[in-house]
Amino acid sequence: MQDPAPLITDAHDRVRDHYRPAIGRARDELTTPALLLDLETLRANLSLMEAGMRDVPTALRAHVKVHKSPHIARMEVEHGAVGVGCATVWEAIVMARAGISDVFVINEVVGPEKTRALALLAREADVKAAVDDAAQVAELSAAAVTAGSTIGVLIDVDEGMHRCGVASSEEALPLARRIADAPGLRFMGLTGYEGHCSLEFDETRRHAMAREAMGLLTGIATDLTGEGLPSQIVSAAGTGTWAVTSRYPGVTEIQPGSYATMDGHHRGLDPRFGWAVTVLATVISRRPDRVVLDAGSKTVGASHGVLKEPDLEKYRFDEEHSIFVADDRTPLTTGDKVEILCNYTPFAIGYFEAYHVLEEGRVVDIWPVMPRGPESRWLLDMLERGD
Amino acid sequence: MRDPAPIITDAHERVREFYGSAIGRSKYEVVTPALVIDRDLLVANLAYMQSRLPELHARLRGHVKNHKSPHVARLQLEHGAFGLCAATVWEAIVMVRAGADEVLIANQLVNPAKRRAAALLAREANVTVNVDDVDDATALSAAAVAAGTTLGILVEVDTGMHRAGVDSPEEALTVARAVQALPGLRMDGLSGYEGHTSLEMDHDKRHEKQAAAMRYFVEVADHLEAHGVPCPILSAAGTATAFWTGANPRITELQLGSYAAMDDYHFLMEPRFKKATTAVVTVISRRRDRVVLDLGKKTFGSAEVGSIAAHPRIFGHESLKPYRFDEEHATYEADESCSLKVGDVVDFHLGYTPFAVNYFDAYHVVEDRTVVDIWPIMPRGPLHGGLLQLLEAGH
Repeated sequence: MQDPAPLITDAHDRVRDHYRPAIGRARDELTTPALLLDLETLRANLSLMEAGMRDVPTALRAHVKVHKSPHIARMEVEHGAVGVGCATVWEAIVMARAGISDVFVINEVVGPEKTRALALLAREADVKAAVDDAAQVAELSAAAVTAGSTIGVLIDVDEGMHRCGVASSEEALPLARRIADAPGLRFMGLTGYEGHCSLEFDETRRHAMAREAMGLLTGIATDLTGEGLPSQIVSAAGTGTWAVTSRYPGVTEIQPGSYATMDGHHRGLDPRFGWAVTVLATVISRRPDRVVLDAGSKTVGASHGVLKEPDLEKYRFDEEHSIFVADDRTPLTTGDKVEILCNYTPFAIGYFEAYHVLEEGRVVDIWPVMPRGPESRWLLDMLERGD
Repeated sequence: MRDPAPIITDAHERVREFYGSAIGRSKYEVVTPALVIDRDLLVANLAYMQSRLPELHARLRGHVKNHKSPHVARLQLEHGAFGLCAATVWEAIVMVRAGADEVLIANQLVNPAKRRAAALLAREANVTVNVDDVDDATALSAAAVAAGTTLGILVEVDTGMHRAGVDSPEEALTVARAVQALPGLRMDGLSGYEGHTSLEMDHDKRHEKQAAAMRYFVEVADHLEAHGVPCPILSAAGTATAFWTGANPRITELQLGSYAAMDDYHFLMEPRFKKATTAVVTVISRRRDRVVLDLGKKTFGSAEVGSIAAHPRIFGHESLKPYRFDEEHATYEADESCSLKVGDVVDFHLGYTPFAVNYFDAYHVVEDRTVVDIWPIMPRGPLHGGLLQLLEAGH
């Protein structure tokens, strides 16, 4: 792994500058709301995944969309990940500049500036993207030829999630041929995320669904091999299905992300991983029948959350407030700090600028969230300037 | 209104540098997903509100939490707003530095750093804060005394929303008397946002709830005044109740915000304001039975407000049924009769704008579909982004 580039170290310096007074302080002394990352739990999660991967024939590709942290991504690589998965081309640029050479945008990249960004990035890293349509292949090929680079391409397979992706060998074959023939592109194989399984909390049913999905994915890979188009990579899985998918014959790598930071949804699927990321909030109003916290939907995100302790029933989430039912037996008073366990952490992380990184209850560092938000066109400008 | 300070002009320059290549281009040529604000519709909304002010008893205090834009805030002040309203002290700092002389933080601060920030900000502008607790008021007083400033205080009254706020006229009097006795604080009146009425989509029921909330609010004020505590300010209302609450002769100021940038959720309740804020998005996958867009819940936020659907939808294809909203994707059911194909760039209804705005860096400002400027979103997200150090360093 290369050292992080100035893009990353400058961002780290900037957030350390913004939140410097917090460094060295205890949790209860922080200004809220704050996004907390418990380093010990994070390390334990990464070690658990690393140990699990020793016994299976597949490789780990860590998905970074969940945490958007160059620091966590580097730790994932140090714990055995061969590379990272990204949801956007902007995430891919950040992770390549964080020092990770194998970056896969597990998504369709459409639009002239996004494809140009991907093609320019392919000059400095092993860059891969997913496609499910001939128009995307043509656009990626033209961008790679213009940039003088080569982009690895995987066909996105709809294994039952019903989002993007082709659903049959009949659809995959002409697309694979087109990729193999397109200048500037290299056909690398298939990718399929069985995300629909992660909405099924019964483990037996979920595992059966995952096996069915892998049957479809690897069946298409076999058909393509029969036509002279072997898949070097067959990539799948999330935190809810990795245990099954990582052992499925024909799958070469898994692409989970939530295992690192975790949240309520994924704890319901795989409770072996600990809750490393929480949102710290302050009780700003104490009424006889409720407590009001200074973290609402614009902090915790669409899926809301529960309190780490005490166990209180949710009353309502407003934009800047969450409200929990609490009578006078609950000892919380105005000014008290509580941690919110997000039901789905990525929504919260997407709102924040930085993590407060804790060890033994004290802030030891501030890590940037990068890239922040949906738009990051300036990263393309950076690549075009050759910086 | 003062000129914007360097933190505003620097941020404006930074986002123009980041996204300025879009200026002069069609909004359909920008990198998607992009947050778009139509300047003509925005100004029309502000002008409409301004035109209605003479018939209302209350003054307009423009809320900024919805748009988080110093540029929109300045336009609010140019269109009849006497001051601004913020949900956080960080928003208040930004808006004072944008040029506002008068800002209400319609919320409890409680954190020591937030109290200190408000007290320091009161050196530059008239800063007013909500309280519902004597201990919080006491700590605010200490912060103001330490900074050598005076904070205006509104006692927050729960008018039915069941969030923060005192629960009875007696409790309001207790807190108000405590505020009166504390140095560095000025007891200005009461704050009583009837936000629960904005979760009532039925027009007549909403009006009944609004009327009940304001009856109670005025009773609390009467109780204080009967006990010798004057309440020169009674502040309330949102976009869905502004014209009713503003016509109440006892209410002195309105704290609505969505009227400026608007969204589909508020449009259902108040269609006289137009949807000035939208997004442009790209179709990234087209399957036989569905289309997939390059934005999801990490772009538009939640598809619901409370338990009410906020209706994120594709312009011109409003009848398409949502299949599922993921983090980075919105998937709609669409058979072959739908003309959308991979690469199409379309306008998108965001549903409830504040959730989306908080994820973005900037607005693409358009006039007649052409991008004319890039405006920063400030402050972004829940953290202060260095604003506290700025005040403490005296910059």
